[in-house]
Amino acid sequence: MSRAVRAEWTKLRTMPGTAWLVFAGIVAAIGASWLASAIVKCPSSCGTDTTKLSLTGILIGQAAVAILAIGVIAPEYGTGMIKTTLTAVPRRSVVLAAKAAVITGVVAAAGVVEVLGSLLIGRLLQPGNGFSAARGFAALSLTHGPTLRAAAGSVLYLALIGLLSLGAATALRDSAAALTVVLGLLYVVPVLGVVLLSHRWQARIDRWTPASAGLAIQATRHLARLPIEPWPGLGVLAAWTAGALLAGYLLLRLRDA
Amino acid sequence: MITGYESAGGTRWSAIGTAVLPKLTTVVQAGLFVASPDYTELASGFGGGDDSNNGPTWSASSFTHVALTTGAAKWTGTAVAPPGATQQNIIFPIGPHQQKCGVTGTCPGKQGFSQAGGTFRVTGSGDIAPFTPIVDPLQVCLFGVLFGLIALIAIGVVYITAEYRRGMIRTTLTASPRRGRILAAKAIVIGTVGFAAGLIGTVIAFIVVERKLNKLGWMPPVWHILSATSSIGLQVIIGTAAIVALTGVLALAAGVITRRSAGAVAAVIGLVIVPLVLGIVLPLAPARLVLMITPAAAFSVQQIYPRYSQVSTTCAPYHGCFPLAPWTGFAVMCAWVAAALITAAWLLRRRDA
Repeated sequence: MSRAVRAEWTKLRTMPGTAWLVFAGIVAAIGASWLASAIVKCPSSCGTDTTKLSLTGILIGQAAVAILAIGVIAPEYGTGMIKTTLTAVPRRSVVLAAKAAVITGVVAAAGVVEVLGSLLIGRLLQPGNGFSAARGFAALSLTHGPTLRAAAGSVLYLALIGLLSLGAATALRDSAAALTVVLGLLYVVPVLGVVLLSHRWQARIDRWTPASAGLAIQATRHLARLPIEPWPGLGVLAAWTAGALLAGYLLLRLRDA
Repeated sequence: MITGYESAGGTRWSAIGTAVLPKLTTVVQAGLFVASPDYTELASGFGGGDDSNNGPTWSASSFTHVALTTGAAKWTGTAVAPPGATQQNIIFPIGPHQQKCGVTGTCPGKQGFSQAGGTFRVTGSGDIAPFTPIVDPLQVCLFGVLFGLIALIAIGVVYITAEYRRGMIRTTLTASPRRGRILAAKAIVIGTVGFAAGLIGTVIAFIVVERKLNKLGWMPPVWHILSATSSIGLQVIIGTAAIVALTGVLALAAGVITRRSAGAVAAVIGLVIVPLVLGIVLPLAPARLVLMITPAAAFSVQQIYPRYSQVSTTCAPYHGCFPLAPWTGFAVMCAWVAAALITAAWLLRRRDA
């Protein structure tokens, strides 16, 4: 197993786009968080959840995570590299687990940078935008329980999105197809949830789809009004991820490469 | 001819314009009214968690020196309510008091008309203006096009990246060495396919949705049943099909530029679809900005209701309101596609296959 992980790590590390993609993802995520923290001001929107606001960039960062995770398996089918991989490590479960381990490590590392950078920017910018102690807003701090949960949960969220993408890519074996499915799930479905006329369907989408439910982990205020509570929300995403990985594993095992 | 005057204080009046009404009947009603638009409080939060409150407001005015110079009988007071205000299943942009008072006309202290000597006292609530729904159900239903759109993005990207992956591009370029022409041919094919698919899908959706909405109680006078061949119907249908076509061309251009499926698909989804998500979750100011500068601005062609400057409405993207006028937003997308195609043509010519 450790050899398989090392092999996968070497492949990922030496792919030309990896470092660039991770860097771009971090810059885009922290940039989006910066923009959100810079624009929202208190007299007009004091109801804002400041922790969630400062973590806005995760919404953008997840796209880079999906691309990265799909990139560790789908292109292997395009180039035929998968045959080499499976010849070297014949046990399908080990191959998939090694890829999952590598992806989780890289995404978690990038996620920690994104989350800490976003929170730091929020901590620096928000008090100047009216979210001050005088109005009852404490500066963002990881010693605050819900904020710590939101921060750690956002890293977990990204890791789960990475694994979900890996599972989808293993099942679909094609970058474009996998990315379409994953990004559709992450970005199109939530739009439908908000604009749908039926409140019942809107609540269902908010509660049971991966992105909407998973991001509940970032909420620190008005928890009673959430469509789903933070940890159960992340649990819904974890269930999706488990389903995708299982489907990917079964198809990897049953099909010829 | 009718001449309008305006005044802030009531003492000094200035003319603001004249209008000629050629189809005016011989009997004309004239009168006094007081309008007081609904208030809307927006405390936008993140993740769609905005707190918005709205409700009716009232205002009262006294009018003196009101005179009729020709014929005419005496003044009478009538409470005016919007048509169909009894239909509770229809969402009205007015508060509960307006519905009750307006229809029955018995709402002490809120709505009324009294005359003492030469002084008229009029109380009113709401706007006297064309009705515009907060959320346009037809536009919402047409959001289903997004599912087709992501499929077309994948097809448009793979249309060129598959050639790079399999080396087919060398055969293509050998057979037809003029690279600009290859790009143009591919753009025409994917654009035509996208337009045809978009047209078929939108026409069917339009007809089905109109019928279903009508069944659910969206009917005149509140809701105009749009014909697919009316000018607005055509704007929606052709505009949506054109968005699908242009997105396909944008995907093709992105595929040429990046030569990789994953990067290109992500970029196009990021440009066309993600802004719609951001429009919903971001606070109002940045949300509007995003929907003005990205290709997603083109979805404004799906807006059916015109906005009137005299009616106070909040143009919130999570209500499906786009900040740009329909074809202006569409032009933004055209500019993006043109820029992407030019870049793609330049790179295709410059790089080795």
